[in-house]
Amino acid sequence: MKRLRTVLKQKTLYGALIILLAWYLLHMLLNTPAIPSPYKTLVNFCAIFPGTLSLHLLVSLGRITAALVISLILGGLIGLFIGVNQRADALITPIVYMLYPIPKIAFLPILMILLGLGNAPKIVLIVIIIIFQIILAVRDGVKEIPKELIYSVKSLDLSSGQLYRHLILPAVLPKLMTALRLCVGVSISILFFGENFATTYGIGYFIMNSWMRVDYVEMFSGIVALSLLGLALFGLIDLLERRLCPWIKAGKKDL
Amino acid sequence: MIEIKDLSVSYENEVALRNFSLTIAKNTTCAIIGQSGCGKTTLLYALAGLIQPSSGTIRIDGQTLHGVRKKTSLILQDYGLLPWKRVWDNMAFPLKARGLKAEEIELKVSALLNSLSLSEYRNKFPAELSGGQKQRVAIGRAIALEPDLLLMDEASSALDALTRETIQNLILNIYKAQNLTLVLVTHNIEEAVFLGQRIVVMKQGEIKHILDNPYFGLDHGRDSLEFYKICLEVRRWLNEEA
Repeated sequence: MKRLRTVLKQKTLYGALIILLAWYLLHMLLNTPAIPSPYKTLVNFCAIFPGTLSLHLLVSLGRITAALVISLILGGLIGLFIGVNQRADALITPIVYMLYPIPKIAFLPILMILLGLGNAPKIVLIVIIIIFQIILAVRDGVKEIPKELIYSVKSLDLSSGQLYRHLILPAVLPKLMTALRLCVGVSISILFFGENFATTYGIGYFIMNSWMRVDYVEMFSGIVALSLLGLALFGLIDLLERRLCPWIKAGKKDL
Repeated sequence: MIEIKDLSVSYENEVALRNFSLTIAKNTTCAIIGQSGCGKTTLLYALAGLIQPSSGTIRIDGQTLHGVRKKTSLILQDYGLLPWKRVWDNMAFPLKARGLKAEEIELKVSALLNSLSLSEYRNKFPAELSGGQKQRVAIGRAIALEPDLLLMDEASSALDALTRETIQNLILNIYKAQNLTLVLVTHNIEEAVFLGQRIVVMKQGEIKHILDNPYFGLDHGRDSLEFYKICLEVRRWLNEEA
């Protein structure tokens, strides 16, 4: 009983147990090779992780990281620009709204023609999908700063650089963290699609390739690896948020 | 000395201030009272150099005001503090921005925190403070800049009655201790009478009446009947139809 309680306190472990249990039940009930047993999969995962899976994961992680960094910088700058400048907002926001809903995943062939078969089209594909969330989050972050707070800070006679440093960037940061979290989830799903073309590396390729070879145990090992990658990335963002935005939790009670 | 001459401010189609003229002597206090929407906050922002008037001029110590002035501090009702800075940083960052040395800032902020009984909160975020504590930090931040003109917008309106009196006493003591001109905007009659040497009653962007307040700055002013007589007079002017 006591041990159960400690497990419950470890939220991640608890989540993993729930998923494993559901997985095991499905495996038992459906009794199909398409859902291999969790035990067999985990044994396989441990066996192929050091030599194979880790390599695929690293390649995917590299692509996601590159796409996130590019989107953060570009999207952040565009978002700040249209957030601060009303005329730019009037000119650029309609363009953003029109481009945002387009299914950009269909552009992969065009990107491959333009950028070749390497990492570039895959990274750019992720960027052109997630950058919109970053732009809008940053723009809204700037626009939601209370007018009185702007007046109050402006009355302190700061330079415009100091205004960005003390007022605008910290006001945007929590929104950016939320957008980043959404973008990580989306990036992983885009990557899964993008890595099916013109590559033999990446966790998306690994999973689809195992599927084609009807090796469901390996396919599920890949899925486990992808899930762990997501867990690590989300954990990292949570950590960053606690470090960079400690005021979010200040004075607030959990529901 | 502040000379406001024929000042008009409009927002899009709405006129907030109409040909407003007022002179406030140096080292005096002036309370501006009126219902919300009467243009008093606009006047304060214009005095702070934060909004451009459509016409007219403001001269402070003989110099025409263009934009924010180094020796003017502004205290607002609620949004004055940066939610992402701890108490200490909220008071220190304007000093850093003005290029003061770290030791100087440490000394100054610590002394102010001490005199405002805020030392134990120096590492708290504004969200962790009560309304009165937040307002004391905002006052500290304003004083740290050693202003000769202190502007306040509803500085105690959001507080409960007892805390409000404490803050008003604090402001009066600061005024008495430092050489500064104090202009405060309020809709609270007692606050205007307690803190205003002169009380300007405003209505729809114009001055309706100016009262000289002989009971300003007296200790225990709130305990005397005369104090409330002035309050009643201000109330009459506020309620009177134009």
